[in-house]
Amino acid sequence: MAKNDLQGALDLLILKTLSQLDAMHGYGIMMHIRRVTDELLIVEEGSLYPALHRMEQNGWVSASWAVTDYGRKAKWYALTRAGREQLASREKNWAQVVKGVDAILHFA
Amino acid sequence: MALLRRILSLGRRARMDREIDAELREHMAMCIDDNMARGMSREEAERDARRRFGNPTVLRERVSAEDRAIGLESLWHDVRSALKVFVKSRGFSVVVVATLALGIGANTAIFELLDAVLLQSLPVRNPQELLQVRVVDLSKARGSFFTRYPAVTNLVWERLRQDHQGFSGIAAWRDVEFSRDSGGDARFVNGLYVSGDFFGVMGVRPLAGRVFRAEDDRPGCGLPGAVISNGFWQQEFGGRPALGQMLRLNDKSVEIVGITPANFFGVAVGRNFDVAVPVCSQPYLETKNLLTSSTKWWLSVIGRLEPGWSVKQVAARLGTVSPGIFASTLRADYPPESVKDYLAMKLTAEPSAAGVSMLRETYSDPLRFLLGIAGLVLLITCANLASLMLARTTARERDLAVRVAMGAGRLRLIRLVLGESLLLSIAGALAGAALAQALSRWLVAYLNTQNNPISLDFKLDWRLFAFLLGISLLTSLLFGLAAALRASRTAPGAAMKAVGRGTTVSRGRLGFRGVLVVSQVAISLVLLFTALLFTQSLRNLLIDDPGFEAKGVLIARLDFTRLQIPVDRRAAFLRQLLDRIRSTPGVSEAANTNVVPLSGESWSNAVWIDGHDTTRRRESDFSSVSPDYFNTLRIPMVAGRDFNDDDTSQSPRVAVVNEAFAKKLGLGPNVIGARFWREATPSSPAQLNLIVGLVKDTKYRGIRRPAGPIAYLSLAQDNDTESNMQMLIRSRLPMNPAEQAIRRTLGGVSSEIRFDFDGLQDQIEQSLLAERLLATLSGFFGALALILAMTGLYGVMSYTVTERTTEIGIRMALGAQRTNITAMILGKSVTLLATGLVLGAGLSLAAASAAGAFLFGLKPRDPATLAGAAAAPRSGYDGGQSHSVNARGKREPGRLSSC
Repeated sequence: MAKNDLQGALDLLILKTLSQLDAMHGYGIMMHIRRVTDELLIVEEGSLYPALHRMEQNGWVSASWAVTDYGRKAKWYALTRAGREQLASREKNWAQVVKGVDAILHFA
Repeated sequence: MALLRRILSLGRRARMDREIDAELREHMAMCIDDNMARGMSREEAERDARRRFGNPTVLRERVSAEDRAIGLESLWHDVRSALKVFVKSRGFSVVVVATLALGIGANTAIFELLDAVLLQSLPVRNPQELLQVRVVDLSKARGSFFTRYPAVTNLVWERLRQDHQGFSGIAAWRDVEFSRDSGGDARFVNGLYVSGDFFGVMGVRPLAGRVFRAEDDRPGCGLPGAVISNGFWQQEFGGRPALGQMLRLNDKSVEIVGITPANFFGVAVGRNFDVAVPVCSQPYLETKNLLTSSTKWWLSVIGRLEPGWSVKQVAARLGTVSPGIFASTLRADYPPESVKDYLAMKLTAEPSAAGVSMLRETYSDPLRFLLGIAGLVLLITCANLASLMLARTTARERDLAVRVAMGAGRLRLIRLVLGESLLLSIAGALAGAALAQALSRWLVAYLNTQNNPISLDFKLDWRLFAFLLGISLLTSLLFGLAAALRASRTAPGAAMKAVGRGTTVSRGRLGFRGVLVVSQVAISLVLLFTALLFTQSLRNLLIDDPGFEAKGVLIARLDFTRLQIPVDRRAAFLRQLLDRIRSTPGVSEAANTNVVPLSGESWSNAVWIDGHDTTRRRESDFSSVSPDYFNTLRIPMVAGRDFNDDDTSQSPRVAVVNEAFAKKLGLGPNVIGARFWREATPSSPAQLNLIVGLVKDTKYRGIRRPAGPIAYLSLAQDNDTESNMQMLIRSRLPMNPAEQAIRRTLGGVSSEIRFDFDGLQDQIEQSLLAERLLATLSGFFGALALILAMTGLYGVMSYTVTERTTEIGIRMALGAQRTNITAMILGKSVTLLATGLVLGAGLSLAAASAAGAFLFGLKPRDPATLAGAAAAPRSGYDGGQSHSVNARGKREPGRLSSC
């Protein structure tokens, strides 16, 4: 059975984004999700930052301060080994969630 | 590891908050940059960013909440801010902490005592394996009983030592007092007779030298050596080398061979030992040999359970081997008519991890009761503080409302207020613990009497720590919860109100505070009522007429063993000694007796009227006295005569009996001249006695017990006079000068006589210590409760008045008179008070029945039931013909008993 269900989706989005971008600050992650999903999914600051800090506490991401391309100092997040493991298992779970939801939707 | 990181990050909160602020600020800046890049003006860009960002404070709170999810950091934060609050409102904090310290201190002190007396295990290896071996029903045994602890004869003990299947080791012991002087004022040490294996079975290793081994304890061993306690070593030798030094015990010299470690006090809690010698030394230290008799019940047996055996199995095995043991230990001195009972006796075993304790038997119930009372006081304290906290929370409504408006959650507010109360109660608990140290020591000093010294080991063990922690958590919850819940209901709008206080007060809030006040009044009434009961009961006991006049009577305990007077000349010597005392200035009367009434000593035998069937036997108490005994104690002579010097061992045996004796044996009006038999005892055959006198009833075994039948025999006709005696001396002088005068007289007779003094009245009052403790402490708690309840009521009422100032103003403006207002406020408090009193009265009745067992002369119950209840715990030790000599009677070494 798929655990972490739909609510884990935000974590999954953030983890996947970080795996694609290597390292990114909060604003960048937000904009990335927005751009890639064509504004279908908008992650708000109110959800994003608590999630990022929780992941940091859990040891899934590491953070460091660095300067952006535009010369602003920002806190950059990157996946740790535990984060990558977490991402792998979340991806698998997600596939099952989708399959499950799909099955319900296509039940005739 | 995340937890570790959180703990490590404790106190770095400010830095972390700055970091979060910076991160969010940069986020906002990037957002604005983007907006402007898309062509917005700076203002538009900023407004849009802020709109999207939402409430920055809430976001920051939520982010930093993630950073300290476990809450350690935030708890620390709460504690720090609470500390700041308390420093600011110092008066409030001091009041709360002081009140709590009193409540918690009282509880802890009593708990400490309870812990030391009841709960702590013996300081030996694996105390839970220790079992006490005892006779199931000792009341059928005949002979002399040296202790109120379960005991067996040496013969039975030797059989147990030979065959102790189920025990990995077994040991016997007896506490005793040895004298350390040769004459004059007596000095004693707490001695211990121990079997050879005793220290081995206990797992006690010597601090220096050696402890006894099995080889030390064999018949005819003499005095192979003494093992002293660490306390005695420090006290006598100041810690200097003591091994090889000689000690004098009961006029014999003994070498110190070993010292036990500091934590080992013996087996009897409350009574530390000083010197231990092997059981086999008993005949060398005392005049009577206890080793070969089947009627001297003096050794307590303790064993260590063999692994693989259960207590039940061991007890069952002891039951099976009992017939064999008792059959083989019967000796000719056992009274023939009781042999059947002796052979039917059974041994059993029961857990004894906490050792034995006379203190436990005397004080465990009063202490439990007092702990209950102290708990109620703490409850009142909590109720008081709860209303104080509630009032404070209401006053802080604005502060709380601002917090709510800023995004603080309900739980956060609850935690804030609870954190404050936790901090207060921990401070209270610490102060209370300190107070308890002084209080518990005071309690022990209070219970400590010259004749029954108590030494208790108070240690700060985990139990006490758990108690303190539990009590502070509980109190903080109790007094903080109401305020916390109230705080959590704060509406953000409250902050917006220009005037924090409305014109009228919502009923709900006062309602709860009303409940608090009512319960306080009710509980304090219960406490006062109990206190009154105990005080009244103590008063009843103190003014109770025992049938004799104890005031002005001095007890002198004499020991003239060193004079080595032959048995047949002792009676004459005693008579001369008594005459010398009588002629001492200030002395009005003096008499000898072998049993001092109400001292705990007792001696009873079966009696029957001459010519009647022996099946109509009755139990009676006995006392051997000299002429003038009744005069000395002011016991009225109803008929007949007192003993006189013509009653000698050559003349027919005479007796004086009391009215209860005459009644119980159905003697009718012709008491004088009647004859009764006293049953055979281990030391003498059945004896026929002629009643020559009838006296009024007196109490014998205890103030709480009604007067029973007593037969007085003539000391001069006792053919077994001991070399020690108790003299009752009535003097016209105050106690101290009287003692001095008698000391001089005794010194004039011989410097070899050993003596010590006690007031008869003092002794009776000391026997009421448990009652006095209950009365004093419950009175103290009752008063404390009353003060707390009254301040609580005052606090609530004055708070209500302040809260209703506006309302009262309006009422007065509308024409209400001062008297109306006063009546309104008074009416409220009268209602509260009345409700509390009615509730309290109901509870008091329940409490009174719980306290019933401790009360004297207050309950309309028939005396027999009362006597039965009072007698139950002791009756087990008074069986047969016995001189049940308790701690007090043990003062005379070598005179452990006589029969």
